[in-house]
Amino acid sequence: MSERERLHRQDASRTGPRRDFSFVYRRPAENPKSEEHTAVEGEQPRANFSSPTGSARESVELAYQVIQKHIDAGRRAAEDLGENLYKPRSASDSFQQVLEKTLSFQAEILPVWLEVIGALSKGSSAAGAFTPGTAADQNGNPTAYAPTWTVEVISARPLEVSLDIRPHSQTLALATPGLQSIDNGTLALTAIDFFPQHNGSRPKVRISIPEGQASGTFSGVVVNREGGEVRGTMSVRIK
Amino acid sequence: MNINGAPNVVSSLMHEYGEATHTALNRYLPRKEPGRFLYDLVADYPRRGGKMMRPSLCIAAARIFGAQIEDALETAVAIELLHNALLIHDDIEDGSEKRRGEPTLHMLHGVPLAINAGDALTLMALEPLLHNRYTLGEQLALRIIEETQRMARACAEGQAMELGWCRYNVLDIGDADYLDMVLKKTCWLATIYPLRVGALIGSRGSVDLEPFVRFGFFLGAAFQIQDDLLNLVADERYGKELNGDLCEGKRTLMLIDAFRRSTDEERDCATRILALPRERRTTEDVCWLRTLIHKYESVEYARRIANELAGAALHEFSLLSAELRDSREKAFLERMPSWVIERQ
Repeated sequence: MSERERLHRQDASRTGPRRDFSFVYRRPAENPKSEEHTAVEGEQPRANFSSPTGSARESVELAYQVIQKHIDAGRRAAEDLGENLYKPRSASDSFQQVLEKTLSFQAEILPVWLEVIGALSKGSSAAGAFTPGTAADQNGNPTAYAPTWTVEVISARPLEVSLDIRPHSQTLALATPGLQSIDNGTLALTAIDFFPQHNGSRPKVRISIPEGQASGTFSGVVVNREGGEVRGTMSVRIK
Repeated sequence: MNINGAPNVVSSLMHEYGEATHTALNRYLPRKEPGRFLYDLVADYPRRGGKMMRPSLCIAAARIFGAQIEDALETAVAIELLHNALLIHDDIEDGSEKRRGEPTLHMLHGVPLAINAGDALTLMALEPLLHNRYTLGEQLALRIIEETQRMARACAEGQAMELGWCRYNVLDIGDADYLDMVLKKTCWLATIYPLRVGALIGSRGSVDLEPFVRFGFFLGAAFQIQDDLLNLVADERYGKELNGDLCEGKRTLMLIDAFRRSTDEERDCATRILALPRERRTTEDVCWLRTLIHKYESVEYARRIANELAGAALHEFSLLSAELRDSREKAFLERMPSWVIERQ
């Protein structure tokens, strides 16, 4: 074939798939990227989908209106509840506070769930979030699911235990340098032993409260003995 | 390997995550008495399988932020248990006869036992959510329960809208009403909730969840419209009764569009047919509605809307995932809009 007969295709206006549909699908005011986008003349969205023109564009706009209305309504409801479900939130809320909000929010719709979660709430205030034996059935047999941590308490007094350990720590040799109270002069809790998961057994933490221990909340970090990095936190509230 | 271009990433990941979820889920299905009247029924729908789209979305959303599969597995199990619980009740409410290629639970065992099994499955879904405390910590576990109650409320509202439209023969429904109903009835449990809780787990609660509402909505709405389309045109692989939606008088996008375009006489006839209770709606009635839908090319209309919503879903995903590194899970989520409208 001679040079004269050869067909030359025009260079493509772009060389990769276009992933920014912002100018097509979302109204400019709502889209932070829309000002940056410069549409190439004749450019089409991905071949899989229809060209968003005419009624097509209207239907997508309609869908955006529906979802935005829903998001706005949800945001207002969240604000009425005194918390914002839509924003990233720090993990500083207390378990009990969050639980109470959850209970009040769902009280209208799911009474059966409420009973179960209500029981959990009572359990957490009376005996701690991690009650030994919670993974056992009515006959005392372990259920099929083995929770990551068993908490064993040796204490003559009621207490709440909160344990927040990173995932995949159950096989590590964990330890705590002691749980401190913010009240000066109160003895730290040091009789805390961690038993890693072994041969399918559940990992365990044993807390011994000495006689005469002062009331209060004691908190501290849980570290890996090998390396000393922090693997979680622990808190014990003695009543 | 070009993971983004892998054509079977959706099916392979759904199979992989579906298997993991199914194995974990089996640990929550008791094998004890009364088996014949409760636990056999509870295990029936999960045993029949399914696409496992919901748990896969959850695990993938967690994984794109760097989580391990195990971190999201308990939540994925809860999602699948809740999904099956709602299916049992939906089948009763809709008077459906087939589910996943077999008779529905209430057809096999009667309505009272089926309702009870659905209730039991709902409550059993709480167990893995509570177990999240041990692996994710109390705060994150409670955030997930908050998300769960929000999803449950939306589901109940959406289901009420659809049942109410049928019960009181409401026909002045527009596309926006339909999308609002689908958002609540389908999207929250099918896509929005799995994506949001997955992102919560993966980011340890640090990511803005609002973009997942948009992505989940467009994805879920496209999924539902495609499901409605399959109800009219699918073959026996579909697993549900063909024309079931028309028998039940469901306000699908096709029916809404056809009704909108009909003549006054056609509207009167359609209104009379849809006012009948399901058991009095004849095969001829259903065929007449079907003909009306085809006459006004409402199947094509609905298919076009599904395509456009899938395009919007892809767009929303491109916005929320722009900063995320490439991975199999990212490719999976990116392919999902195409998958929902291509599935048969």
